[in-house]
Amino acid sequence: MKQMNFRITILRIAAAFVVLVLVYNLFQIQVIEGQEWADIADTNRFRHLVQTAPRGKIISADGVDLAGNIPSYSVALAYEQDEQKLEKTVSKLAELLDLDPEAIYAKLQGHRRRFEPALIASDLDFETVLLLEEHSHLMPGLDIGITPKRIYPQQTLLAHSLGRVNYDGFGDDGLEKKWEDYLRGKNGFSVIQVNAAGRRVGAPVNNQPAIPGNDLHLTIDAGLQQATQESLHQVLAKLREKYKLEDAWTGAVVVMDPNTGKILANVSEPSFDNNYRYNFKWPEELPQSSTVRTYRDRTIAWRRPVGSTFKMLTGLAALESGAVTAKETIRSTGVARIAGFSVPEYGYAAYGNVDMRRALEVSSNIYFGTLGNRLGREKIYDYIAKFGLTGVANGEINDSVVKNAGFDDISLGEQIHSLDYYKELLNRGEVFYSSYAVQMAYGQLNEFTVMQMANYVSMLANGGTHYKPYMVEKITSANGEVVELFEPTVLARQDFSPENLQVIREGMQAAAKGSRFRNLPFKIAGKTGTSQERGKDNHAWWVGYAPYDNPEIAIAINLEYGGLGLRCEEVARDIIDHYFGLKE
Amino acid sequence: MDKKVLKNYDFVLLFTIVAIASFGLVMVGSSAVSGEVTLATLLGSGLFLRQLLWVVGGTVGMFLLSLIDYTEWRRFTIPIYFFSLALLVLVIFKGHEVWGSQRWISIGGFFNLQPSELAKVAIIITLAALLSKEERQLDTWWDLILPFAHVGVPMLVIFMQPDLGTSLVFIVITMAVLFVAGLRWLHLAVLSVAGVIGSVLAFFYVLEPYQKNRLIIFRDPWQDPQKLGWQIIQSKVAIGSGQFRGRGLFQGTQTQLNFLPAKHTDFIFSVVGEELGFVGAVLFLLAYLFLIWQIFKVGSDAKDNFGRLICVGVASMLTFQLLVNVGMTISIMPVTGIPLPLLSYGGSSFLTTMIALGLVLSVAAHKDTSMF
Repeated sequence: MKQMNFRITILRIAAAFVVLVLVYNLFQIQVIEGQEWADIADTNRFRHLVQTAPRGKIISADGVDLAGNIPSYSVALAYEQDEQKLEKTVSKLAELLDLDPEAIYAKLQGHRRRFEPALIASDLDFETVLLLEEHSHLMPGLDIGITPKRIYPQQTLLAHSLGRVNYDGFGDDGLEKKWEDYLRGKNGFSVIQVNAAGRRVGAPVNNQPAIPGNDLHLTIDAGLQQATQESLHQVLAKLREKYKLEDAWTGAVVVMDPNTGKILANVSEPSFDNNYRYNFKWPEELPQSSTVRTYRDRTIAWRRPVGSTFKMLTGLAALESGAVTAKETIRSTGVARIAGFSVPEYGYAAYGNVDMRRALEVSSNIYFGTLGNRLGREKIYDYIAKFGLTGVANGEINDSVVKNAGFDDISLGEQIHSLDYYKELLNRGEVFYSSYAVQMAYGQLNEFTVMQMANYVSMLANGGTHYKPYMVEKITSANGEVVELFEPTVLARQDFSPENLQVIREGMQAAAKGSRFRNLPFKIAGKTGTSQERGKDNHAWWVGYAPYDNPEIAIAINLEYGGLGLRCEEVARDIIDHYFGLKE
Repeated sequence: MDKKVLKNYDFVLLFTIVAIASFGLVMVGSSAVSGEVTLATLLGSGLFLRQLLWVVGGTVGMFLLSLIDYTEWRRFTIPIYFFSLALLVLVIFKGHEVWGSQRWISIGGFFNLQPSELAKVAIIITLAALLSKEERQLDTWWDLILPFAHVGVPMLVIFMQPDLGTSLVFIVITMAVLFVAGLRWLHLAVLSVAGVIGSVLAFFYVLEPYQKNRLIIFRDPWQDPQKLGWQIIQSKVAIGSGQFRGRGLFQGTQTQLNFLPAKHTDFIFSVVGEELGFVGAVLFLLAYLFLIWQIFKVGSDAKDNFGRLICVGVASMLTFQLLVNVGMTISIMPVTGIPLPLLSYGGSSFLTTMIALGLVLSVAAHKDTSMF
């Protein structure tokens, strides 16, 4: 009896020891490690749901959405402990999504965060979403989410300038990149409590609504842009078919308000569709050439010799510096030797004695070649600089042609074209031709962008003010408040003599009297240009403004390998017709 | 009825039992109801209601049982033993399978009886009867053969269900009862060494790989956090996140949001740990220890060895199940599916515990009554 009770006491002590061991371990877990386990419990039950902020829209001046958002549907699946239930759900989902069940299992397995639904498929079309909703009662744990997706409703319209967003929704180039900080909204989030099956329990614990991005309002007139693009496209097609200019696939047009620098149309051909930017298929008929199938904006990132459109600059420089008077005539004989260089008229035509106005009208190479010889290279450079055509600013040479034109609304991204022609030219001292100034004067050797040429002709139209070209007029928040408003910016003001300018303008007006511009209700000013590229068809140019008396639009057109400057006039006419409503 | 029965009645023990069972009822309620807990939602929950019936019915039954002199059962040792053995065999043929084990027999479609639970109390009574016979000696190895055979047969049947956990409970009951009944220290030492060696051998040669995995996963549940380790991790998260003061009754997120599996049965202690914290868990453990001590005390004061050994069997069963069950929830013990007596939801376990405690109360109440 005594011995038994002694042994019972041993067992009592053993029981106390058991409790002691348990208490010790509980102390370890609950008191010492407690906070860590509490954190894990929180990650168990809280789920952060990100609400993607819709990106700001890009809207044309006439109210057309050029970039917007549509809801994109995705489907996720919460973890299910019961394997049979899971299998039913997965097989149903696989059937509806037309996927291999194994692929769904793989996604579930590969999903590291066990307490969040695993993303199964995204970018679903609406029909599929309806189908899923319809059968959702058969698939517990199914989570259909909506995120905004960037779209470009006008497809190829203004595609080069707009740029695109990458897979993460960040601007990759163009306006999308340059204005990223404004376009991008602030993502919201909500913290919800879920149960073990991943289903939501109760109201959100924390809710921070998404703040949509700001909208960009462009100076671009979508109607004009459209008309210009179509015209350019058709004219290029006609050049290939009717004039057998096989390489005439590419071209660019800028239409600008000469009194403000607003860009009204900015067309680069061929265009593409940013909706499919990462897998865009160029039309098959396009040549395989990388300079044709390019995402680079030809208005700002592409330079071509400008031909006779340069002659206004030579003329104005000569008048301003007294190298010639408006009335002085120079004899055009079909071909002439100037400073040892043989200068031919177009088609060796002899125009007889021509003054400035007549020389511009007939585009006399001999007249302007003679002026070039009188002016010399340096003087011509001065005027190139005055029109913002060089990369030279404050004595430095800029490394980007885009900046030369003063236009910086667009991030070029991969488009950056750093060919700095003038840097090379100025360094080419050892290869000096005495005839250099002569050739430059009538438009050879000089390469500019279409944007630069639009600046140049705007300055001729407005009396010498170099406005900064701009495409973004205003930024508004989602609820319509103006965040930023952009006013015209004067980059430089040249004090050209109004009389001299008038002579040049009259010459341009005379040059724009061709059959294409007949029956316009107002006079216009214009000048064609044809420049040579060795072994290729000529490049066609046209610059001008309208109306002649009170300029509202300035136009610069370039048809690469378009043969003859004259061919641009059809595009110019279409632009003027559309802008002034002359077609109806 | 003898007047001494009421005079000697251990009301402290009775109160402790009812208090712990009622506490368990509240915890079952917490695991059964998600969202707002009111009397209405509690009573609307089938789990809670059934457990309530068990607690009330079990308490009444236990009390009635305690009024009967436990020595009466001595006469029924053989029927009890073979009836319980028959049920164990029956479960193999007629029982239904849950989680890969055949443990339950359906009775009237309402109650799933788990014969292995009842067998525990049957073995306590019969082993106590066997070892408390006047002529019984435990001096030689030969003397141990009968008790071992007595326990070994039902235990083997249970082991084959397979129900490793309950088999272990049998071993512990047997060893504790033998120990108090006078097992020699030498025999105890030899048996302990043999037990360790046997366990190791059994682990490598008898157990199926899945059983092995289940046994060792508790050391590193993150090896398989989605399946085997899931329960352990969630239980540990629940208990740990209770911290010192607990999340509050009915406020445990692991419990209420269903992260905790089997929370009303095997993992009921995790609910205690999460919602009542270290303070609540320790108070609960101390109450439980008090219960165990009280049972041992009843054993010490018993009028005969039969009563003494019954108490030892019951107390050691409760101690071992407490260790293994609570140890499992904090991953210092493997997951063996052993419920926490008085707390875990489940009729068989509760019934068994109440019968066992009814016997203990009877031992206390009848300590002075004459044997004749």
